Amino acid sequence: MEAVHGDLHTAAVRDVPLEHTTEDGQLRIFGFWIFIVSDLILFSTLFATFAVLRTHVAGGPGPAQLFDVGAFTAETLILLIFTVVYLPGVM
Amino acid sequence: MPVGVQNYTTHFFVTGDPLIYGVDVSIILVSLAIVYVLTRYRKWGWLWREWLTTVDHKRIGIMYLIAALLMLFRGGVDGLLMRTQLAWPNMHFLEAEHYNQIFTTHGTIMILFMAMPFIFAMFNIAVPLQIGARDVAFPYLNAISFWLFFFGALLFNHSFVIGGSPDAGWTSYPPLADLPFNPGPGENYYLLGLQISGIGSIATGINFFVTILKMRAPGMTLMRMPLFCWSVLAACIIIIFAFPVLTVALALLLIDRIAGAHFFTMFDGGNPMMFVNMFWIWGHPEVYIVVLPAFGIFSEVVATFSRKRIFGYSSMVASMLAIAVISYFTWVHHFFTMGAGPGVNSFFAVATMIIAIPTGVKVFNWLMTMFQGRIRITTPMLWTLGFIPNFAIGGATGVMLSVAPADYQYHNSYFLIAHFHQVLIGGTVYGMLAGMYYWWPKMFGFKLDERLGKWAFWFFNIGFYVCFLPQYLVGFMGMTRRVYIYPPGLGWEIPNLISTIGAYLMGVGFILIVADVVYSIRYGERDLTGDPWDGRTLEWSLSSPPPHYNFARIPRVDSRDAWWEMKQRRQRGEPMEEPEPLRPIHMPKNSGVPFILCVAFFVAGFGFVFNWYVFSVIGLLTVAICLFHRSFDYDTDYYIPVEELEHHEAALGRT
Repeated sequence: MEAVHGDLHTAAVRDVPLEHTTEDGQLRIFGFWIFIVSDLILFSTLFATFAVLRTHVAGGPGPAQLFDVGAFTAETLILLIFTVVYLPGVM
Repeated sequence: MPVGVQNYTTHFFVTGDPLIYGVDVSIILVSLAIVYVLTRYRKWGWLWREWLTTVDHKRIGIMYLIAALLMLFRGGVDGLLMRTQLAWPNMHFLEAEHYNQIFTTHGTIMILFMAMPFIFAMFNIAVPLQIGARDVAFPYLNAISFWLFFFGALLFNHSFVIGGSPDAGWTSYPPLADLPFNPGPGENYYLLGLQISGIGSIATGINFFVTILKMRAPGMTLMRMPLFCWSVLAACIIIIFAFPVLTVALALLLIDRIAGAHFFTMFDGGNPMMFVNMFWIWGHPEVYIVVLPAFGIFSEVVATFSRKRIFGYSSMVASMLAIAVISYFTWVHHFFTMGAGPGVNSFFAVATMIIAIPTGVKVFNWLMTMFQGRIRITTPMLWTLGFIPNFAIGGATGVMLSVAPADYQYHNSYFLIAHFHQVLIGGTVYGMLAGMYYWWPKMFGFKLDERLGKWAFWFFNIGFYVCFLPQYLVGFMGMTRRVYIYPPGLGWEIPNLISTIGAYLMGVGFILIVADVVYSIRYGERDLTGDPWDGRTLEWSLSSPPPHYNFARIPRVDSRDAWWEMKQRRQRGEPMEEPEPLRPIHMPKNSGVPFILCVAFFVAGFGFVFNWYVFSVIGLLTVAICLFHRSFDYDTDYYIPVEELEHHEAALGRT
């Protein structure tokens, strides 16, 4: 809450990314990471549920019959790799 | 009336029970009275500007406190209705269906809509003041959290007059909570009400975690923080890790119910125990979420009223963090009877016994703080002293329950009921009431009357033992929880009757607390110093109530109990530092969007409850619009100029 006028200018000199230049911005980034932590738990729970119930299809079609597992795994990996490659470009 | 409309209304409104009609009438009367008073005294604008749109942590704390007390009343009435039904064999005060609904709402309200807002009230009231901050890290999010809780609770509380209450217990286990066994909107209310307020709880957890780690006054290292802040930090860590699991459990059960999925059904591949596990992975840490802040309050109260530093500060911190971690490894003790096998059960039994150790450490630290202290028996101290024997008994019976083979006998008996009421009331409620009495002058500028407060304590405390000690006994005799009627001749009559009398004594205690508040508004001792208890931490350095910006100058801290040290230095006549010149203060602007956003959540939730998806779509669209608005709103803050600060400070008699 303590943004002081002129911070932006000095920060630019120090070559700090824009979002880190105010205390507000720093708080938000930190808070965002903590939010990611809680999201991590949320998705872990979903994955855990999937792991437990994966085979419980009650005689219906399983994932292998419904989806092209190989293709979507490859697509996901490609997308993730793109993101990882993209990151150094913007940092 | 056309038959269609008639059919519709009889299903929409709960009918047939005179109690419910009485409630209908009183709801209408109270609503009319509120509208009348607000209109008569032209207070609508005041309500909107000062309260509904506020982002000030102190006001949000006060609103949490009021909501928690109202919910304590509602949950308490539920409890009294149950105790009345069980007072004697073959009572026909409540029917089975109604009884089921009441024990469900009693548990849900007490844990999620009473204990949670009560601890959040204390977070909001005390934490920023104790760490020398001007507000929480995200004031706007804080307002959203409150309104999410408020409308979640409102949605849940609608259930008993519109559509029917949930009746599958506060744990809402499938398959009983699943659609085939539980048609109608009741369980949907439970799922949506908890989901909406749960989002708010996660946000509060993140908010205070960031606040405590990033916004402490200069010089206040982690190990110089007041213990209450440590307890909030520990509770926030648990919230961040535990609440998402509840979110998933509730969401999947809702999908089961409204979209015909089979996550937790009996047939078609569902696994009901999956829900039970997820529920308690959240549920056990949850009890530590609500009890750790109470421990923090006891630490503050004991130190203040013994005029001593807290004994064993670092062991207090270590034990709280240990509890936060171990609380994740005990959840299976809620259902040893699932039959997970001796290996699993032993692990969880041992983990449960281990968690008693850090708790024991804390109790000894409080006792050692009092040892040779100059003790003042004020109302907050009285609640703290009342807590210790309570928690000793609750802890001991907890260890008894943790012995897995023995638990097969105790499981779901009244022994268990007595145990968890002993720790939840004796721990959390006593703690919150101690905190309420302790910080009341800080919030409102006057003390609560001590004499009435002590009467309230004694009624409540004695009533507590009279109510719950017989329940241990009747549990051993084989009475199980959630029975609504029992035959004579089992020897259960006398303990149940005594227990009911105790419950009414606690009710008298609650009424006395309310009377104390009403009396003190008018006659309570005004607090002009800002430090009525001769406190030790920074909140007492401010006026009561503090100005909206809290600290005109952020204090510099160089020891624990910072305010106490400052007072000592002043007493020794050490030269005071020249105060820094005032600087403009950066403040967040009030906003009505959080309120509107949460009304939209309420509308969406209501749509899901009754499967009226038009409402859900409208509600969720409004939510999206509100979020969009916030993202592009750059007019969110302002500066208080120095002249205005000087004016305020002078009005408070401070320079």
